[in-house]
Amino acid sequence: MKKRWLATAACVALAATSILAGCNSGSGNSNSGGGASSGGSGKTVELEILISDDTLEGGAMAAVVAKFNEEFKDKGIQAKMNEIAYADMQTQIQNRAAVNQLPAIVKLSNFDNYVDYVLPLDDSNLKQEDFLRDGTRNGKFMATSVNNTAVGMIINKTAFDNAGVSYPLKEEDRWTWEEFEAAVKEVVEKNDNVNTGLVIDHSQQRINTILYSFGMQIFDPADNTRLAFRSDDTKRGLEFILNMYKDGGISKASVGVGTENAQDVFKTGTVAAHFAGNWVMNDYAENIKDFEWCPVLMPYETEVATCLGGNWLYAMDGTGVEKEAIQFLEWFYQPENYTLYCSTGNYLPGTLGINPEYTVEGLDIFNMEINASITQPQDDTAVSNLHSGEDWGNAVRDAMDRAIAGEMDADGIMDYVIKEQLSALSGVHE
Amino acid sequence: MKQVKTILKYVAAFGLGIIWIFPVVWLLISSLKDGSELFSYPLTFWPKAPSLANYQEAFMQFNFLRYTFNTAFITVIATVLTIIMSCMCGYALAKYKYKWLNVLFFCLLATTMLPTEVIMRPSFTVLYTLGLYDSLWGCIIPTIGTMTGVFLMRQFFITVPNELIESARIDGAHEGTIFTRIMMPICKSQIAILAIFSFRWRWNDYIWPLLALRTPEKYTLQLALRTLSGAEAVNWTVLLAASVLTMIPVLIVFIIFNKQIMNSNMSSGVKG
Repeated sequence: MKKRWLATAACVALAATSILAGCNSGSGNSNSGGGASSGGSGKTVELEILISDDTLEGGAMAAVVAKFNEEFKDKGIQAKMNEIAYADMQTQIQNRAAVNQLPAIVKLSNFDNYVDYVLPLDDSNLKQEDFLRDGTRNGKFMATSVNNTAVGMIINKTAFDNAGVSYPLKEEDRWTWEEFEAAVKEVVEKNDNVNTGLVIDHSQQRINTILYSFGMQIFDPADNTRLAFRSDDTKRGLEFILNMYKDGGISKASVGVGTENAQDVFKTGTVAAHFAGNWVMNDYAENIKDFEWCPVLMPYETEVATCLGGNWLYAMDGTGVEKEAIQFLEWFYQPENYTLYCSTGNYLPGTLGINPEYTVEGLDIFNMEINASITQPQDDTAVSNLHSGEDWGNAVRDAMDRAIAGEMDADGIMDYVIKEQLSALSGVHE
Repeated sequence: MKQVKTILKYVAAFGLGIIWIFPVVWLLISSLKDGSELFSYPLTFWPKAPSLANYQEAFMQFNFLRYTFNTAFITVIATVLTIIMSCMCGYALAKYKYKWLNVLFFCLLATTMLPTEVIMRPSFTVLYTLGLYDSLWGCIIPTIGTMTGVFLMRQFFITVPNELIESARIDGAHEGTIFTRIMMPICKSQIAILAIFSFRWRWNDYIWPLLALRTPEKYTLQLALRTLSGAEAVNWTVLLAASVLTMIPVLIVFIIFNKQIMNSNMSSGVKG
């Protein structure tokens, strides 16, 4: 009898512990971008920073948050990172918006999908003109460009050196696409272990960068309601890319349609060049030991062009800790703190006047690309921003996939893209 | 001739075994390679310099103890509750004769035709309204009612002779006693099967923790693993090591329940 009573008591205790362990200690707490907890003499506000990829990219935000917490430990604000997978960011933000529990600050590559929930920064001491990318929507300064990415070319330096083929590190040595094609073909011929001339990420941005170098425009600079994608320049660019994937071309279709990952294929050492961007540098520095690699200047046809991308850092509205979130952002962009961030993550800065010291060599090439680039890619991005919430998706990439598979030609790609743009964007015409 | 047949059977069994085990062995061996060797071409099977550095890094990057506790908590509680609920529901559907009970059973069965994705949004609303958002119970409660489990148990209880229940009633046993003292012990094999399925479902569950949790201290192993796949890069070395570590508990459970499953397969042939 006693044994049974003991067993019952143990079960009840276990159940109680389980319930306590499983329950949400902060249940019923909405507006949870931060929380206030008593500590010592006053309340400490906890700022939640929702972020992805920080550990993967070297822990730059973690380093800055540690510095912030040290400096603000007696000032009643502490930042806390919540790192989740990049692919889950949108799901988490949408769910949390639905239950009014948004994080205080978010770092992500877009904010247009939930621009209504973003806190305008017009009343802060941060100014849009200090940032390289436009974070203004509907006339309000919404998001800061925390780091920039630029498309660029990385080569297998060992293979190029073995073949005795030179590569451009100065503006005057920049290849044309034809010269580049000849160069990588020679590298493949003279290296037994290299069997592919070029791999390109399965990305619309990378395809567009090549097309911009052939003179492509997405919107007419003289009339931003006119779609200008269909042109002879675009067609030449598309045909050049499609020829890469044909027999005797310099690339391979499996990478072109994304069934093989270009970044992983380049790491095998069997490829002469990778059309990628500065974000691969950390990975290559850590995981390539069998051969040397380096970034070089990209080829051009009629124009020198690179596409800018990157991440935004912004505060969310309605969290109850908006004032502290702005305080964090203002502190973050002080030159000393922002330099620490860019140096730790090997990031291209999103503002002017910052000189980070990089641990990975060759990042300056990307700054050269940004400075040399035409403004058309940025102009097109600015027009796209006017169509906030109207997404024409990855029409160029999707059509390119089908064209590589032989389902359409360059004209077919242009037809498809224009059709998608016309159906997604309001107030535009061809 | 008989000997040749036996040898062929063994060869076929070994062949199939190797096909099944090879990806796991490849994962295990790759987790001992560094990042450079992982992508070197041509591929090598054995690591040139086997190292536990990836495991070390995985432990440094993740709070494995916390994530394992959270995952284990969800898995164990959800599995126990799933078994209890499925047994009770399956028994009632098999042994009680009430008007509309069969209709209810077919209605329940029809729910298996609804994919989880369809009911995700309303389930999330219910979960939040009940105050279970950002709680480990939020990952447990929506998963307990599984029609697969109920169906498994119902089909088993149908095969149990009604005379067994009737004689227990004549002896004075009430319904609760019949269920807990007679029925539960004879369906141990089914419980074992359901336990291993439920354990695997909950241990590998990704969607519910993703929807129900928002605080890092409550994240599960699967959510943590996912952070290694970034927008532009995947940390393969740590991902491989961490994947091996997360497999271990499932492997232990399989080893424990392996015998019951084999027994149940064998005994199913002699039931009449």
